[in-house]
Amino acid sequence: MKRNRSMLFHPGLYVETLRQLRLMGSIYLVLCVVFTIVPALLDSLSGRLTQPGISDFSPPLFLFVYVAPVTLVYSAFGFLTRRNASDFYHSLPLTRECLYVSRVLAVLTYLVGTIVLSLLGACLVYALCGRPINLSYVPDQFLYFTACAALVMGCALVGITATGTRFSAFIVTGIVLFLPRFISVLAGAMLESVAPIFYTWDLGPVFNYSLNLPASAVATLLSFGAIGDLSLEESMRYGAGILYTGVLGLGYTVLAGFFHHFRASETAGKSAPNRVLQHVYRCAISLPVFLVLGAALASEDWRLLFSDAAFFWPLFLLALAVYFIYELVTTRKARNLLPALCVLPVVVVVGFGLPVLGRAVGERMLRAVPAAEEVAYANLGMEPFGGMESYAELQVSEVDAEDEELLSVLTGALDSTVAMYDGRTDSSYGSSYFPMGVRFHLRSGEEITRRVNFRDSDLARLAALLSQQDAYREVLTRLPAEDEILAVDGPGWNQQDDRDFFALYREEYAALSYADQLLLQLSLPTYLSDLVPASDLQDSSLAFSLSGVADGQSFYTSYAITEKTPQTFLQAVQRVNEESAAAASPGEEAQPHDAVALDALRESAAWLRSAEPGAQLWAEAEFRIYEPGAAGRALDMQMGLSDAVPADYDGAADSGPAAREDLLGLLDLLGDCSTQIDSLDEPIVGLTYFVLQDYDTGDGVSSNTVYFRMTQEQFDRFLALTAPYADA
Amino acid sequence: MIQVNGLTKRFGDFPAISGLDCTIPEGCVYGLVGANGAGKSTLLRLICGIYRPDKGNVTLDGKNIYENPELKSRLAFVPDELYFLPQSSLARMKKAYAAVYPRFDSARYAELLQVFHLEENANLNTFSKGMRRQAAMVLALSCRADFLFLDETFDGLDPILRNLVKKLLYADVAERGCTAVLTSHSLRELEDTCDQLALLHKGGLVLESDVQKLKTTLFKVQIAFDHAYDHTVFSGFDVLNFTKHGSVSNLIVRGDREAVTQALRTQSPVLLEVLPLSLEEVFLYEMESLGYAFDDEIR
Repeated sequence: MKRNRSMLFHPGLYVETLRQLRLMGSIYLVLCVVFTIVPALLDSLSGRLTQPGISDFSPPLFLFVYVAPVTLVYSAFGFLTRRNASDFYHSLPLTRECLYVSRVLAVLTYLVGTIVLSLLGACLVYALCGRPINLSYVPDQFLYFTACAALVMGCALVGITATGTRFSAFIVTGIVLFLPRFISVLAGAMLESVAPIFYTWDLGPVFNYSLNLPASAVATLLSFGAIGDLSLEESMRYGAGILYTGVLGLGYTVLAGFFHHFRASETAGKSAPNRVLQHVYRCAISLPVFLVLGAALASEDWRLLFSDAAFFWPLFLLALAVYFIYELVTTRKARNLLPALCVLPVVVVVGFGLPVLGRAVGERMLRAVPAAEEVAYANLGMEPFGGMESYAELQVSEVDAEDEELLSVLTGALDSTVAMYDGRTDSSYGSSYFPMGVRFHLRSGEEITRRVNFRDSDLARLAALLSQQDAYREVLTRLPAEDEILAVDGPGWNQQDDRDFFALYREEYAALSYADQLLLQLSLPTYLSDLVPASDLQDSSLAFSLSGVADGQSFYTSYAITEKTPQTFLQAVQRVNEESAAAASPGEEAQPHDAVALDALRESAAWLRSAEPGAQLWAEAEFRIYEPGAAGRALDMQMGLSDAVPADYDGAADSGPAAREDLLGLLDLLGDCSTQIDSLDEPIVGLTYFVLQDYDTGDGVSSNTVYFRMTQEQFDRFLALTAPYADA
Repeated sequence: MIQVNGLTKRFGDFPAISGLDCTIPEGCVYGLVGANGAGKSTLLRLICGIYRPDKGNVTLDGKNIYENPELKSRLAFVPDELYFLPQSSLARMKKAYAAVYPRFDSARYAELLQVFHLEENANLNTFSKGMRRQAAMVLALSCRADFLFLDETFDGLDPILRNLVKKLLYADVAERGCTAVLTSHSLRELEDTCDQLALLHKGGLVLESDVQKLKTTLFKVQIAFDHAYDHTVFSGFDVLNFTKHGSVSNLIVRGDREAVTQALRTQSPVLLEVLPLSLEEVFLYEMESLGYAFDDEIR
């Protein structure tokens, strides 16, 4: 093999490094594969045969991407922390680049190999157990875990090449991985506290907390979900985040290569290559605490909480302690504390100064409100992409609102919002408003996204304007395309059955008018809920729930199944009645829903007949009524069934022996009705909720959902029995 | 040939090597001697391309050694503080060396293993200090290097093994013309091993000379006269040191032994004896003549 000065990779050293890392790498591989395969196997064998979610394939990898890169890098490059080892490796006939690249590739081999084998192991187990797999999850997971591992590896490489001891390497690794995002999170929080109209993610990649996947995962975990816009599953499919994380990891790896190239062998054993970097590291590790203190003073909201002397001074002392203790621990020389003291003002000034600057910038940005005539068009509902929005919400946000009156409403609401936060007004909003993200596209070409607070009057005007515009009418009632849907949850037996069901529904839905389609929407944007009168809101118990991805954004949306889509409705109610009760006791044969429901109703009637007159019984029921030629409607009722009901019982007026008789009559009636439903020519009554309970003992009987077909006579009697007890 | 030009290396504020120049001829066994902290190990690491000099350069056969893998493949370095891969055996180290040193000779390795009677598969951590140095020597000599750099060469070795190492070194120098640079804090160790010796003191080279020349050009003269005299009597000679006890004087003289003896005889001394000096004494007197007091050596 030709060996020359410019060789960047040495196969012999690569193999030798693989050998050196063999034990550690093997342990990680075995642990990850075993703890992937065994839980998946046990889960599948327990009877769970649903499609595993994207985060279910290999849970150990979530910890692996944090721990393994650091330990493998520290092991492969540990020679940089010991003088004799460093001299040995630098005496070898290799360039520093060749040494670096060969060993990094060996580390990467173990990282990527473990990820691949773990994911393959999971796929194999699921396939052997007959569980359906969404194959698109596999490359997503591979890219996600590899990008995360690459970033953590890059940070570890920077740490170990920029220092000379393992302790300081660990500190610098943490600083590189978390400090930039900590600063951006703090800056974003500062801006939002100054002006809650901002969406920090819209201010640029620096404020998009979700781009740095490993850091955002930790931030979300430590803040109990307060920080971070994406769920874990969304993060794993977030292409921009994966790309950013991977590129950042590559960048850090290259940067560490530069450090390695220029690093002196004699740096081994020292906490930093020189005093300047020692000052930098020491300042960096104490900076977060000073920044928090600075933010506490700069932000009015935080000042109340954090500026209390009992909180402030201990934190300040903590920051000083971190600052000086780091110097003592890493250099073990008390005489270094004096030069460290001289540099302390720098980090104090930065820590307190940056938040003050941030506040000034935030206030300036707050007051930059465009006039209506400056706006070319706007998009509504520009929420952070972390929340699970409905399909309609996603589609509405794609529509460019150009109507002048609409833009006037939007800019007016923005102006009022800014006035509210700027302290110029305090009464116009009262205590109730609805915040919504609006992106304004200015004629100058600039785009700004703001959280605008809409009063009830604004919302009503908005809803009225939107419902007049074809573009919005179309998207509000548009169903997701087939290729946008990941999963369908409906009355079907399984996923394929639900998809077939939904295909039938789609055909019937397409033939409906706009108004009828609107009535079937269960997931309209909150700010447009006035489009559908409350009284016409559909029962969601018989519905399709869809999850999917549209234009890179996840959605979860529901559509009601009613008599307006008759074929779908009939099949759905029949399916509900036929479906075996999943709650059957072990050893018992599962019974169809209607049989289970009827048993429950008979049991209720028997209990009611045998109950003591003084028993404090009450019943509650929800019905869904479908009369031929009429829209479906809900009927909810409550009945107190005791001779003596408590004085604080709401339904005291509709209680007592008469109610008991009526309920018995109702139960007997339902027991006589047919549950075979094959047409809409006769009334259909769905019992979607029923419970009969003893107020004192808590004992009770409940029924699952069941649909009844009634003759007209039965239906009339039903109405007569329930009318006195129905909620208004 | 190894050429060191104006070499300077600092560790923080401490000047380890200051403006050092020296030339090590090809095929030479060159000894570097100096007190603790004189800069021997630092100089060796600079020559091996481990450290980057702050000023000056080091060339081997006219090429700069730093970051030159082609040149580094022709040298082998055995440091004072030995390093082996963690929990490794000689066999394991052999694989590692063979992977990166293109000239690594497995046959030579096997031969040396027999010579030193070392257990190839035993954990090197179980070896004694001397055995570890033997192991390092085996690996270095198996590299068939053109340049051998051995720091504290004989540290931990018993006299028999020292002789063995010397023989092996000579064999390499004689057969392949390799150049060996050895360091030690003990002149005695290097006296009968090296062709050339250099004395390092506080980062600088204070003395460099052929060993034979050193031994023969400096000698002690014991002389006495039957009349009063002082040191001016010897003003015509290169006297490094003069002491007089009664009528007997001891002189350390540099020059041609025969000529000096002949010249002294012409003064009709009652006592004249010419005695050889040990290398330690030679260095001591040379350093004194250069103005370095012995106390400087104590740290």
